[in-house]
This record gives sequence, C-alpha cells and structure tokens, in this order.
Amino acid sequence: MRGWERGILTQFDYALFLGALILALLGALGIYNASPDSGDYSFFLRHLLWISVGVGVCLFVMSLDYHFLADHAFLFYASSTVLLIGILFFGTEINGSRSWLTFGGLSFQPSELAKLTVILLLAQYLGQLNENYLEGRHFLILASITLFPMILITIQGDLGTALMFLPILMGMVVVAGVKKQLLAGVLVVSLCVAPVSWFFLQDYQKQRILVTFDPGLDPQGIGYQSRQSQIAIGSGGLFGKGLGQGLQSQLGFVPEIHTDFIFAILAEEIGFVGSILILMLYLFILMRLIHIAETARDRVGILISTGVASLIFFHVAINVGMTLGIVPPIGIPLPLLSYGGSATVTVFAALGLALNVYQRRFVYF
Amino acid sequence: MKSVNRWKKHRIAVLSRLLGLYLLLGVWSLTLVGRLVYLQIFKSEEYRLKAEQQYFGYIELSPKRGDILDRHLDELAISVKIDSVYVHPREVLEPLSTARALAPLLEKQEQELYQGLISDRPFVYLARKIPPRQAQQIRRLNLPGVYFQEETGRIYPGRELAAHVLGFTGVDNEGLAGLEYLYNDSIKGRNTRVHLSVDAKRHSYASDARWGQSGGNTLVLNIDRPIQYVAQQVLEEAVRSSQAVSGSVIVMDPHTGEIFAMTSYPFFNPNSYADFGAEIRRNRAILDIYEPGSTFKLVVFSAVLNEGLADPSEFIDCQMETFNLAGRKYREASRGFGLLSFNEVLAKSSNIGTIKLGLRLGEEKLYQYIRLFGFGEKTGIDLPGEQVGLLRPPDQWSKISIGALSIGQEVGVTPLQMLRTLATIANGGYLVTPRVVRRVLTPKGDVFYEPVASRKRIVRLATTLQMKKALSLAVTEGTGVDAQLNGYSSAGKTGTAQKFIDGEYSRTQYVASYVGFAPLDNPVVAAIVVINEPQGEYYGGHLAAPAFKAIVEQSLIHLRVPRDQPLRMEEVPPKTASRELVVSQGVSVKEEQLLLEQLAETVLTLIQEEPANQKPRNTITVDTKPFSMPDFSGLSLREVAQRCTSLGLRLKVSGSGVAIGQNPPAWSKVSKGRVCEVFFSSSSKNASSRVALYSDGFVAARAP
Repeated sequence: MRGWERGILTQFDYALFLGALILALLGALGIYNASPDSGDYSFFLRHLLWISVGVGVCLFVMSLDYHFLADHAFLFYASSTVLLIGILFFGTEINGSRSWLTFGGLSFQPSELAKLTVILLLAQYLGQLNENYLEGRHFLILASITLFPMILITIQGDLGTALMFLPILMGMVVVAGVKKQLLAGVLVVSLCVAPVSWFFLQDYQKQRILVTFDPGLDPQGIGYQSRQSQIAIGSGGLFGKGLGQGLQSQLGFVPEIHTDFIFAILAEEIGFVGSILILMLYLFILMRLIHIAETARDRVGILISTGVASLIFFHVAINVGMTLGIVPPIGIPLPLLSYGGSATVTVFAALGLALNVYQRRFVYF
Repeated sequence: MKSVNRWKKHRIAVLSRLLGLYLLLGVWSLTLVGRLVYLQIFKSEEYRLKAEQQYFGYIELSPKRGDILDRHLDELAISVKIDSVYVHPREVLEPLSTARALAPLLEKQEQELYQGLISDRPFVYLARKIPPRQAQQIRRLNLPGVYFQEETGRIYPGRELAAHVLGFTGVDNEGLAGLEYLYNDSIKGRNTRVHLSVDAKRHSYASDARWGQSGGNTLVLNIDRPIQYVAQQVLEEAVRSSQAVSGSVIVMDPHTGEIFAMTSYPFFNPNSYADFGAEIRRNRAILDIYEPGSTFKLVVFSAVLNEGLADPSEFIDCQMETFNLAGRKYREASRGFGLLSFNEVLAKSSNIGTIKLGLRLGEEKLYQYIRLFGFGEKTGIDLPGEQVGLLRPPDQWSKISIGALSIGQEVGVTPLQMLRTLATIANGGYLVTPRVVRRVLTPKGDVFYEPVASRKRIVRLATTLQMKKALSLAVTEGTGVDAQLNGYSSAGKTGTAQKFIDGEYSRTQYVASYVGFAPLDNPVVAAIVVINEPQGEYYGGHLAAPAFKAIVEQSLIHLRVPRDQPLRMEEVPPKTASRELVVSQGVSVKEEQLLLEQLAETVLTLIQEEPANQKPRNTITVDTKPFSMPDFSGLSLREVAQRCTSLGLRLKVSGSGVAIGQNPPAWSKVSKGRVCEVFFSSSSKNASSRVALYSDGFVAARAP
C-alpha cells in the first residue's frame, strides 16, 4: 500500500503528463476555433469530455502493474481482434471506412484499441525473449501478431491506420535487438516490394501519392486538401493571424480541419512560433518517453515505453508531414490534438502505460 | 549475479539502440521545422495572398441610379431594388422538377430553364429583374441552388409620361436614350465594391454592404408633370381623331427656354421599351424634320419689320388669283385676298403677300434672318441627337427659292426650332436655349449643377411688339380662331405644309401645325403642335389649333396665370369637354390604379425583405384595399377634412372657400394614406366654370 502511494505521488512523471495535457488543451482550442458555425461548440465540448475520459483511463491504466497487463496481453489482444472481426459485421461506415462500432450515441474505433493491445503483446513476447538478437522464427510470430489486425483493418477500408502498425513494430524490434544485416535486409526488401505494391494500390491511393510529389496535378481534387492545408499554414506567417482569425481554415477551405488537419488551423492562427512550440511539446513528450524506456526496470518495460513512443512519434511525424504536404494524406489523426474519442482515449491509455513503467522503474518496493 | 550482469550488459545494448530512436526523432523534427520555415517564413506572403484570394471576394454593388423629377419634384423615373434569379447548378438537386416549378413563374420555357440548371458553369442567370411578386413566390418554393441577387431596377411610374424626354435604361442600368443616356454618367452613380468573405462553398457571409451607398445624382427637370400629361392626352386625341401618323407637342417658357412639356405620338412605355420599335421611341419634337409651311412666315415678317422694309400701316396687294415668280405660280390656300393690311397678311396667312415681303428682303437678308432665328443649327437643348434641319445657303438656291422659303418651303425644321422662333417674338426679341434639366442634385440634395439660362437678342423689341399684334390678329380674326383661348389672350400662327415627296408637293399628305403663345402681353407659355399626315381635314388651323387651345388653356390655369379676357361660358365646345372627361375618367383612373398597385407591391416587398434574424420590429400594416375617392366638389373645407380623416386620406389644401376640384379625381381607386389634394375657391363664379385641375390626370369639376 505504501509503495502504491509512493508510486502515485512521488514517482509520477508530472512533466510528461502535463506536457500531454497542454497539447490536448491546445487541440481543444483548435477544435473550438474550427467549429463550423460560431455558436456550435458541440465538437469542442465533446472533445473536452473525451480528454477527461482519457485522463481517467490514463490514471486507471497506470494504477495496474504493467507486468500484470503484459501477462494478460494475449487476452487483450484476442478481445480487440474479436472486436475487429465483429466490426466487419456490425460496424458503422463513416467517411468510407467501416471502422466504427456504435453503442447508443457513442462511436468507437476498435482499430485504435488494437494499437495498444498489439504494443502490449509485442512487448510481452519480445520481453520474455532473453536474447540479444532476434531470429527468423521470432519474426514469424511478430509478423503474425501485427499482420492479423492490420489485415482486418485494411478490410475495413482504413489502410492508413493499418499501415501505422508497421513503424510501431519496427521501433520495438529495433530496440529489442536485431542483427544489422537483417535490418539492412528488411530495408532492401521493402524498397523492392514498394514498387511492386504500387500495382496493388487502389487508384485513389496512387493519386494521393502522386499528388504529394506534384501538387499541381490535381488542384481541385485529391491535391485540394493538401494544397489548402499548406495555404492555411503558409498564410499564418511568423506570428499567425491570431486566435479565431484563421479564416482559411474556418471558412471550410481545409477539409477535416478538426480531425486530421487540426495542425493546419493552429499553424495558421498561431504562426511559425506556435507551430514550433507544438512540435517542441511533442519532442519533449517523446524524449520523456524514451527516457522512461532508458530507466525502465526490465525488458518488458523498455519495450512497452518504446512501443508507446513509436506510436506517438510516427503518428505525429506522418500527420504533421501530411499537413505540411510532404507525406501523402493517409488519414491518421494527430495524437492529443485531433478531435476524436477513440484516438484521444487510446493515446492517454498509451501514456498511462508509459507512466506505469516509469512509476515501477525501481526494483525495490 | 550472473543474470544481473547479463541484464546490465543487455541494458547497455538496448540503450544504444534507443539512441537510434533519438536520431530518428531529430531527423524528423528537423525536416518538419525546415518545412515549416519554408511554408511560414519564406512562402508566407505568397500563401497569404493565395488565401485572401480564396476567401476575400467582392461584389460590385450597382449604385442607386438617381431619380428624375419634374419641376415640382414629382417622380418621373425612380430606382427600386429588384431581384434577379440565378442558380449554382451544382447545388440543384432535381433539375427537372425545379425547371417545372420555375417555368410558369419566370414565364420561360421549361426546356430553356433545364439547360441552365444542368449547365457546367458555376453560376447561371435564370432571369434578370423579375417582378417582386414572382420573386416572393419563388422564394417561398425554397428550391436548393436557386438564389437571388439584388439589382437596381428603373421604374417609370408615369409609364408613357414624358417617355421620349426621359429615354430608358437597359438591363444593366445604363441609359440608352433621352436624358437617361445624356446624363448617364451623372446619375448612374459609382459602383461600390463591397468586400466580403466567401467560404469554401462560395457562400458569402458578413457583408455590411447596403444597397446604393454611392447613388447617382438626381435630375430635376423643367418638365411640369401635369402640363406634360395634358399635352400627351390632347396630342393623342388629336392624332387619333385625325388618323394622323404621328405628332409632337412642346410647351415652353418663352423667356427662359424652360421646357414644360415635350411629347411625341405614338407613345412608348419605357418600362418595357423593348416592346416598341425604334421609330416609336423617336423624340420627334427634336428629331423629325418637317417643312414648316406658313408658321415659317413669321421669319419674313420679323425680318422686314426689323430691317424697316415694311410699314405696319401699309397695305399689300395680295392679288386675286396667282402670283408668278420666275415661272412658278403661287396661289393662296383658299380664294384670293386682294388688298390686305400688313397685319392681315400674316393673320390670314397670305402666301402672295408674304412672298412679296420676302422679295423686299432679298436672298441674302432672308437667309441671314433665317440663320439668326436659329434654323440650320441645333437649338442646344440638353437632349441627345437633336437635328439641325435642312437649310441650303443662298448660292444653292434656285430662282424661286426666295419665294418658297418665305412661305416655309424648301426648308426643313424641327418642331423645337419653330417654337424657339416664336418664343423670340413672345419674349421681346431674344433667342433662348431650350432647357429640359432644371438642376442636378447630389444624392444629399445639394445643387450639383444648375444650367444658366442663356439668350441673345436677335431682333428689336419694337419688331416683336408689332409681330405680337399681327399674330394676335391671326387668333382673333385670322386662320387661328380655333386656337382662341377661353379667358386668355394669345397669339399664334397656323401652318399647313404639303409633304414634299418624290420631288413634288403631295396633295394628300400634309403636316398641320400651330405655334403660339399666351397671354399676349406677358407671355407665360409658348407651345407648338405638329400633326403629321392627318387624314381628311388637314388645315393647321382646324387640327392643331384646337389642340393648342386645350393644352395652353389648361397649362395657364395650372400655372395660376390670371385671366386677361372674359370667360366665354357657352363657347365651350362639347367635343372638347367630352374629351377631357375621357381623360379624367377613362385613362387616368386605370393608370392611377396600376401605379398604386405597383407601389403598394414594392412597399410590401421592402417590408417583408427585412432580414428575419433582426430584432422584432414594429409591424407596419399597409391597408392596400382600394376604395373610391368621394366627390368633394361644393363641400366646405371642414366637411372635406372630416371625410378625409374618416377615410384615412391625407388632405392637402389649396385655396379657400368651396371645393372646386380634387386630385385624385372622384371615383378613382385610392387606398389609405394617399395624399389627396383639394382645391378651394371662394368665388361662386369660378365654381360654376369648368376648372381643370391636375393630378396624374386632369379632372373637370363641373358646376353642381
């Protein structure tokens, strides 16, 4: 009991938690300003609700020993997979993806939850391997753990989310230890596979990729979103147009402004200075997460926090890259900033896992 | 212990790999920051412009075109807000049913509308400037993709009234004819560019613009609406009854050249100018050239008097049969006159006598005087397209030209030129510049421009005094007896010219005219009536003179000119009276009603168009139900006031005593709130006479 109290009160990573909270509130501000009609603050209010739920879930996840969670990782993994399968039959389609479960008035994306359970299961599996370097057979198992939910999510029509599992896996595998030759091999193979996979992509997916490299290709169609987002960000200038003054975003020129392109409105309204501030907050959170990995008590702890760091890092990197027009728009949210219940709660839960590891970094208690 | 060491070793390996993560983090951060620097610092200006292009739109607000008012500031042409219908075809959900719903309201073919609704263009006009009632009905349908644009529409409430002078404006509010054309730059106002924000779906929002913020100037004319009205009614009647082709009337102040009225028949309605041919829209009073005939004789008479070549007391042998001039035989219009006094030659319009006087002048002098009186040049009236007429210089004359010109042949003049010549005699010898525009007012009501009356003396006062005597004799004893006014002295000259067609004078096609002024001693009004190609009766004295009488008589009464002659009770020709009854009861009532309906509709629309989201305003109830005007004649001021109050009419009182006339006339349809002008007179003598009073129409209040 004493230890638990001590853990909560003294071993709590306030910096990480506060950093995350500040980002979440910045996101709420962006959503407030992106409200389509002044006076309709339902998105904003709902987002605040989701943040509170997220904080609650975060503290709850933190309070359970991560060893306990890792031990039952397969159970969680199985449950999330069942949900992913269930969605194929009972899912609700929103924006072309059948990735939503609706209970009452609440929509929920099991694919977000799956990110967490995959991280846990991967950490659990990699953690119990007492070897410096992974071998082929290990990869077989790792690949099946990751690919199964990925395939299910792809079937739902959400390729973007599915793809996000790969960098998470990669991050965790690298940290778990992999021979340099193998790593190089994987890189070479993926470079070879990439052009081949081109032929398996849908036309609209090809379009998105092409347009990223040549925005002039289709200014009104696929390229529109990315172009408008760049105009919004660029027009913000050094200090921005001021809160609530981001007309480019507010007048509906940037689609999905409150979800995937939330960074655009913030960059437009608070300018370069504000954008850098946001990026620095992310950098800070990521460094705290890596620090947690460094100070973790055991291999499972390291891998869990590495997974969480990868999850957040790759989402931020790709989403911001997307809004800045250097990555094809693949429709993934910006952690902590974007509107969306499942994503927000998932990120807070992931942070809860990291805080959990941090709290229990000492062998004695 | 071994496992602890192993863990430590393993841990170091893990940490080195985490360094790799740091590296990745750093590279990505730098990439993003680099991109941010590029977008937000280097390209910031470019993107800012791009963004503004997207969401700052502007619209050109058409300004409120300045009104055109008559000299009493009554409206002749006004601007109203009017809707145009357009669609964003992309937003139209059901083009077929939309077209079907709109077709009857827009009075267009379904197929034509359908083409517009499925067009690829982002913006398609379905109909420009539709009546308020239809706009309201379309609004009520609430069709997706169908929008309204507020435009300025020009309305001429008097319809045909002074249409030739006013001209008309096209659908884009540019003046195309008449004053609308000539003063277009001054009255159209400047386009206001209103900036507004446009969202991604091209819906504009947050526009503070108000319509017509920089309106055009207002024109105040010399036109006197009631005189204009009576001139048109009388002219129409004269042209119709004589089955003539066309006709013109000008009423002018002879001293200043101010035009009280100017009209040409056939009329056109500038509200729907496209329905009338260009021939009908011609302002014949300044555009049509006709051979003036006898009216031109006053040039010769003025010239010989001014040059001292004739003695007013002398007698001239006008011979009995014909007069030979260089082989051409001249004859009088009727039988020969024999010996006539100087004044009688003009009064009886003797051709032979006039030619003899013309010969005294000689070619040079005659030409000089013709030019002096302003023929062969523009009068300078402020209307577009004025004609100079036809006048050859003496070196192109034939031997008989001097005779022909003396009696108004071989010369082409406009009605306005002819009237100006007469005005010179009326005003004591000055050539005036006719003026339609009295002043130009800024939208705030300040005087922007006021033309200065310009005139120059061309003949001596004594000449004009003698001419007045001769011309008044023409009215009392000569060819112009039908022009004799009831209650006023006047002077004038008839004219009947054969039309010169294919090299010879027609025996069937004539131009009948009368030009005159009144009262004799201190002329207030000069007027000309020209009737082109009348059938049957063609003498100016019988056709144009009665029209002159009807117009000038009522004009003088309207202008409150005191009578200088006793009234001739019995001599009111029943024909004239009945005509005016037609004027007051038939046409004007109908017209009045139309006008009222139009205005009421506009007012209603304006009230209903107030944005609904504004704070509730006091509702204005407009009772538009029309009722008949009571007949006030014979009632006292008190009785009239009581009845007006009970009916909700606003009373405007002129004079005192017993009611003798009213505007609007009795039995015409009016609605509550209408201003009702009632004229009172204390003398019972007046009350028993026909007193013509004006409104949009004239009304004759007859003896009780």
